[in-house]
Amino acid sequence: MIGLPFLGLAFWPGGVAWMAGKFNIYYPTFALICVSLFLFLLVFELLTIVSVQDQKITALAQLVGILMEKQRLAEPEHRAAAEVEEESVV
Amino acid sequence: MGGFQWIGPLTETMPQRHKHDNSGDPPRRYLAIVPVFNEGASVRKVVNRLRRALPDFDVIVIDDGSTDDTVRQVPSDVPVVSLPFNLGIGGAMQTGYRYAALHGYEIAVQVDGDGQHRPSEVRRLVDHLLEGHSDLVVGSRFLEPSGYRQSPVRKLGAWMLRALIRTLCGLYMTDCTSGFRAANRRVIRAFAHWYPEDYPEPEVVLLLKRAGYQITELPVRMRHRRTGRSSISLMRGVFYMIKVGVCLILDMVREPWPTGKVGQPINDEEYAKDDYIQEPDSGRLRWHPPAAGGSPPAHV
Repeated sequence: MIGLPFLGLAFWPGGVAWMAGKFNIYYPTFALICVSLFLFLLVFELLTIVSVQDQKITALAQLVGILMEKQRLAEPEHRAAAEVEEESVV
Repeated sequence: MGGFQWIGPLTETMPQRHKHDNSGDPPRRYLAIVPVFNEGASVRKVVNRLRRALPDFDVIVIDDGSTDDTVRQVPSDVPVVSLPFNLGIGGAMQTGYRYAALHGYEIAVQVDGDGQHRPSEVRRLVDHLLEGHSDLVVGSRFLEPSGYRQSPVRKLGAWMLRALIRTLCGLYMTDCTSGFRAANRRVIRAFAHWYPEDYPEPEVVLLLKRAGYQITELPVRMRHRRTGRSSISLMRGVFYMIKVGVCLILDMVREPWPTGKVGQPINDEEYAKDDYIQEPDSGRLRWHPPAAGGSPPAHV
C-alpha cells in the first residue's frame, strides 16, 4: 500500500509538481515529504489497530483454553477417570 | 465432548483435585505452571515429579498448541489448558498467571516442561518468597558455581542482557533469562494483566523493577535439556538479542501495569479499577473486561 503512490509517481514524475501546484506548495519536494508523512501515519495507525486486535485475540484464546479445561473437568466421565487414576496412584 | 454449555463463572472452585474437594480441605494456595509445546517425551515425567515433590501444590499444564501427543501424556487428573493455537511462551505463561489470578492462588511457580527445572528447588523459591522480602524470586544458574554449561554465543548474549538491564535500571541479575521463577499474588495479578509475548524473561525483570516490585535471585541447580529442542537457535539467538535489546530500551517509557507512577510501589487496589474485580469473601479475582467498543486497556 505504501509503494502504490510511489509507483504511480514513478510512472508520472510530473505528478509531484502538479500536486505541489494544487496545494500551493512552493517547493515540490515538500509535497513528496507530506505524502511520505501521511503514509507513515497511516501505517502507524494500522499497526496500532493490529496490535490491539492481536492482544484481544490472545486474551480470547487464553480464556477459551481455560473455559474448555473447566468444562472438561466438570464432565462426569472425566471425574470417574480421574478418581480411578488417583486411587491407583494412592 | 458435546456442544458447549455454560457451566458457571470462572471463579468457581475447579474440581481439579477430587480428593481435596471430598475431604473438605482448604483449597491449595500454590500453583506450578508448566508451559509445554511438543514436550510429549518429558511432560509426564515432569508432572509426576512435581506432584511427588510438591504434594501441597496444584499443577497446571499449559499446552501451547502442541502438534504431538503432549496432551495425552499428561495424567488425566491434572488440568491442561489447551490453547487453540500457538501463542508463544509469553502467551502460554500469561494463561497460567491468568488462571492463577482467577482462582486466587497466592504463589505461582513457572516450571519448564522439558525437565530442566528440578521440583526439589521449587520449595526453596517459595520459602524465600514467603519470607516476604521479594515479589518475584528467580532461580539463577550462575549465582553460585553449579556446573551448568552454556555455549559461548549464549554466554555473550546473557552478558549483554545483564549489562543492559544493569545500565537501564541498576538491577544486577546473574541469570535474567531464567524461566524458573516464583511470583507472589501481586506479581500474579500484574502478569495476568499484561505479559510480554516473545522472550519475556528479561523484559519482565526490567519492568517489574521500574514499577517498584522487589526481585531477588536464588542459586539453583538445573538439568540440561534431554528431550525436545530449545526454542532459541543460533540465528534466532541473534534476532533475540536485537529484539530484546530494543524492547528493553522501549520499556523505559512503558508502564504496562497500573502503577500510578513508575518507580513507586504499586497499589493493589488499582487493579480492581481495571480488568479485575476482587470478590470480598474469597479474595479471588473475576475478570471484568472493558465493554465492547470501549477504550482499549491502558497498557495498549
